[in-house]
Amino acid sequence: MIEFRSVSKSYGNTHALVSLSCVIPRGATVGLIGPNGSGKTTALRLLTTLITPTSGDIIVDGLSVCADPSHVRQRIGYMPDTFGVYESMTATEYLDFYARCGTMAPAQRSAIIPLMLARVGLADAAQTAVMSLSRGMAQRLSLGRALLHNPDILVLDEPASGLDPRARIELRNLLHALHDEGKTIFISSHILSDLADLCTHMLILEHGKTIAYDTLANMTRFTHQQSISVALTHHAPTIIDVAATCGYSAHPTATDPLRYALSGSTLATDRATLLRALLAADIPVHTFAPQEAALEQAFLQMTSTDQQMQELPNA
Amino acid sequence: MRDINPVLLRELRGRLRTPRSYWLLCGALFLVSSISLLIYSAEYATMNGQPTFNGSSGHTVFLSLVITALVVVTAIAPIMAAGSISGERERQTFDLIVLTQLRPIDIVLGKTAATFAYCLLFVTALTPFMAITFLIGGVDVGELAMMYIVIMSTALLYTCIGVYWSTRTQTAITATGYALATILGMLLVLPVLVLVLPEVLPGWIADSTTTWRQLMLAIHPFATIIFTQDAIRTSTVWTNQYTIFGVTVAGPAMWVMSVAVSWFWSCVCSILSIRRLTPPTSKGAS
Repeated sequence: MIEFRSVSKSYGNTHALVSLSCVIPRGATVGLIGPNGSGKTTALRLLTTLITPTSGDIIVDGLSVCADPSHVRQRIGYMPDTFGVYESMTATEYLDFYARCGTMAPAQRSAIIPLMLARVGLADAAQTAVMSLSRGMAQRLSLGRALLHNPDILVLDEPASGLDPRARIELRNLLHALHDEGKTIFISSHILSDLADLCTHMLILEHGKTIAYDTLANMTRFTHQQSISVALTHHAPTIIDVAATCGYSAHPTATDPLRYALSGSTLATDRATLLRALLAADIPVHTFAPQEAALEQAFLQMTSTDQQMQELPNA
Repeated sequence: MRDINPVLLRELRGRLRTPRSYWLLCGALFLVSSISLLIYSAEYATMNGQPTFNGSSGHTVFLSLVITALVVVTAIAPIMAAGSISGERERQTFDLIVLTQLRPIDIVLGKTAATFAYCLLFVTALTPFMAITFLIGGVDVGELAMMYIVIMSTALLYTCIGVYWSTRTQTAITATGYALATILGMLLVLPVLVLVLPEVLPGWIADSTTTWRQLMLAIHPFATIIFTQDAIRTSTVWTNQYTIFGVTVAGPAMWVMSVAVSWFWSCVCSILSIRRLTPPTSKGAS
């Protein structure tokens, strides 16, 4: 379990993080979101003991990051947002160097490094120079480095930034597997769809202040809008009236007159009832696709105005 | 068996795998060989028809080699060491090293040893040139060993100064600037002080000008070599006579003091570097 206890960090008159308090259960995957300069990286660096809080403390499995940073470090694997390279080093040597720095025995090193390379999908690139790896491969190698000492907690700062779609999917699958192993994962990212897919908890920061911390389910439950894309097999303008009876407004999309965008507030009928109503009214529904934008909507609502923030629970 | 320091291993591999190191070594050796050739030629020209070199000629060539090697070490050691920690910051690998189980002392010793090893490689590569002076004559093995010790002690001190500044700055170029300024300050300001102080404070050091000068110049490797060259002909290798406040006492030879002072300040710089890398701890929640 990780507990942030009124953690603040200031640089002179600049308050990078203001009184962050939250309890993260073991095995949770926590997404940190917020605009640039909101304090995400500061929170992660505080947790990894790279910087010390101005006030407050973080307790990691009973250990204080202020009083016992070296033992906290043993429990944490950190993947920064940049991939620092050493010249003239192969992927195997890169991992071997960090394994040595982790005081791993030679036999253990020679056993674990090929396994780790295979795990992050770099078995074929074992002898490739680190400098010549693609961004996606470098990110996976960096994750492999963070996992070398089998930490209980993973701290990932913008792990998917700059990755192509395939690399993002591979990284996401890897993180799913790590979550299933029971690791507690912190992810800072601007790609909300990835976080919505990965995270069990969300922490929203803005200007160093905590806007919200809750489970993903609770957070998205209170979004004001839900969107559904409905494609028809042929024209049926009555969909607008049927949707209205369920509390949704329907508009044909500009690019496809047979596709309608339905949007409704949280007070609207649930999606299953809406679908049943459409079918009962003989609307020729070809596809019915709820749009998974709930987290984005929650984020936009919570970080837009103070008034809206106060309307939300757990803020 | 305990593993070799991983920072030392990585630094040596990283350094020697790039062509830059070979070019640097080649350039330094070319400089040394060119200067020794010039001295050799100058000595030959002054022989006035005598058929062979004598011991004095060999000694002159030897001294020129030692001073040139010292100049090269004075340039190489701080420049290479200054990029050690600040270079990690620039490559954005510093956080990753700090978060490993390595202690700050391991990081500092690894970085220091890597630069020192490169200097050792350079000084070792000079051995064939030094051997020529044996063939000419005028130099014995003890003198050669003594000069090697002074050069390597100087290399250690300048490396530690470079590493120290490297822990204090964010970029290698800034660290290099500070390190070179520190070393040049020591090399240039100290002789000025040695010359000026006896004039400003004549009463204080009235009868012992030479002794004070020697003591102050003990941290000046070039002065040490030149003074030692003179002293080695008139006194023993290990001791020297000093006059302090009118009392003549026997003390360690100037080169011994120079080596001891270099080691002392090397330790001080290393301790300060280690302290810079040690994470601050507090009692916790406030």
